[in-house]
Amino acid sequence: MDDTVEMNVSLSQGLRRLPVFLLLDISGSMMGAPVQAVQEGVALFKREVESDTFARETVWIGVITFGRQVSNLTGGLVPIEQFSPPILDAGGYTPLGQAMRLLIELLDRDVKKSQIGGEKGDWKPLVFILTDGKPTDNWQGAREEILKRKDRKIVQVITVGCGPEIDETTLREVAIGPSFRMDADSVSFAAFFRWISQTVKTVSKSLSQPQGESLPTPIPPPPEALQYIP
Amino acid sequence: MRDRGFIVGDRVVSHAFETHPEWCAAYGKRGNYTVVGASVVGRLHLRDHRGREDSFLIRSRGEWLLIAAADGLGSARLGASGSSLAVSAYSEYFLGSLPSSPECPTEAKPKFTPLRRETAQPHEEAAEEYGCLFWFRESRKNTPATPVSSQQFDLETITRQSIEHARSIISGWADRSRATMSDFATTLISFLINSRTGLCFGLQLGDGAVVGVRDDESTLLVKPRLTGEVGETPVITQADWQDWVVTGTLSWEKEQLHAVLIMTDGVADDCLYGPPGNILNLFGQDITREIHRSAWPDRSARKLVRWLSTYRSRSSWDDRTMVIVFQ
Repeated sequence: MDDTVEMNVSLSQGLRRLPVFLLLDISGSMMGAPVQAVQEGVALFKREVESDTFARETVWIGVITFGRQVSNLTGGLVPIEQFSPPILDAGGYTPLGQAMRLLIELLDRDVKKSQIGGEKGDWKPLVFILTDGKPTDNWQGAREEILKRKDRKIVQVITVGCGPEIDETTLREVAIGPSFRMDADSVSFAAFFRWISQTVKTVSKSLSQPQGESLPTPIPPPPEALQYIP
Repeated sequence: MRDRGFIVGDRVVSHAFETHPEWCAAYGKRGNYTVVGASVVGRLHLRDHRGREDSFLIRSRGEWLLIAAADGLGSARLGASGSSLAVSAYSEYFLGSLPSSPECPTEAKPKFTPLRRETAQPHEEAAEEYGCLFWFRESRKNTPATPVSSQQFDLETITRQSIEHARSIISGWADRSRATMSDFATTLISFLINSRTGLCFGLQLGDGAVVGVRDDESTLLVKPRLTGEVGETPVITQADWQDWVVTGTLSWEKEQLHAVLIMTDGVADDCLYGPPGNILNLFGQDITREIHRSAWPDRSARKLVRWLSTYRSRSSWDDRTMVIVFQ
């Protein structure tokens, strides 16, 4: 008997993913510098997340834009390494409700549930909504549906409003978690995307350490550019 | 004759000095049953210069053998203390509550293999190797055994009392540390064997797994009660802990067990879920075969700690603890 031989043991090939959804407002009011800044921010987000060994292995991203139309630019969830930051074209209204309905479809279709003997389930998805204005359609029903899903999957929805036109009350009502406001300049967008990268990295790390008693998903404190909406 | 027993594994975390090494292996033997266990720090904790938060203990008293493992939650400030207190207080109270048989089973005379330092460390970052190896001398005489059957006592009640005891110990520590119970949040898994009768009793509170390995299949011996949400687990420190306790009694012989694996979620996550769909069977067979390949349990324990700390599985970064019982 040879004790120096390494153990040869079959292991699961499954992956527990951290789904991250970005819901980005590309309505007409975002035209020009703001949408350009969002585009650069998404690219920054990809670079930052990829730079972290643990996040790179776990984070899968889905991008939904809402403006002229509501689109799922990633076709579902894709690994961060395979994600190509999209070119964004601003215009139209702010159909946040439709975007949230599309999010629900993706949650149903793409987020995996844990099943012993079956697949490794995904971690709780993280959802970030970035908007510069007031929703132009009904979003309350979609939010209610997301809330009802709490028995099955817990989703944290973080809302961030940018620029002077935001409606803080609506932002707070849409969120399932904290809400923030920020300016609509390129520095603020960069700070925002860097912060969500940090959040994703923090969450992907904390995920390997289960939480008892339904503690909320930990998120790092926001940068100065983002202010809590109380 | 003194009722001999042994305790190997993790000690209660001390604030005064380091008692919770990043890598720990232990083994024990009672009657025909051999137990090999190891617990290793997770990759993420290593990177963040944090310690191991899992704990385990292998403990015997008379003809009883008890294994306890716990996963101190990373989100809890004092998770390592919580897990070490839980396995220690629970196992002490539990074994102390069992009917004591004067019989001290005759064991094969221990073969003293020289302790040698492994050339391969459990992990490349290991600065020192820790471990505990104990031998007790063989009983000088045997007295007639007192038959013990599950009808004579209520293991379910003893379990709940033992958890209450562990909670009270943790509560005392929390008071002294100016902390709260939830700062010590920890799961708890335990497996008890009567080495003479083969009576087994499993407990699970929280995630992890107790797996029975047979000829043709491996199955969960205790079906845990969980919240259904990935990343959340019930813990013994929460107020409604009673609602999450699951226990099970079985016979080693009747179940035709080859081995029982007790593990925290850091390992359980890598063998309970596919693909492949039959991963639990494959894992159970492989582990049992590999552990049997070593002639001596101390070598098995070293092999186990090395394997646990080096195997790679995608998105598997947590502390890993596994204890294997076999005949």
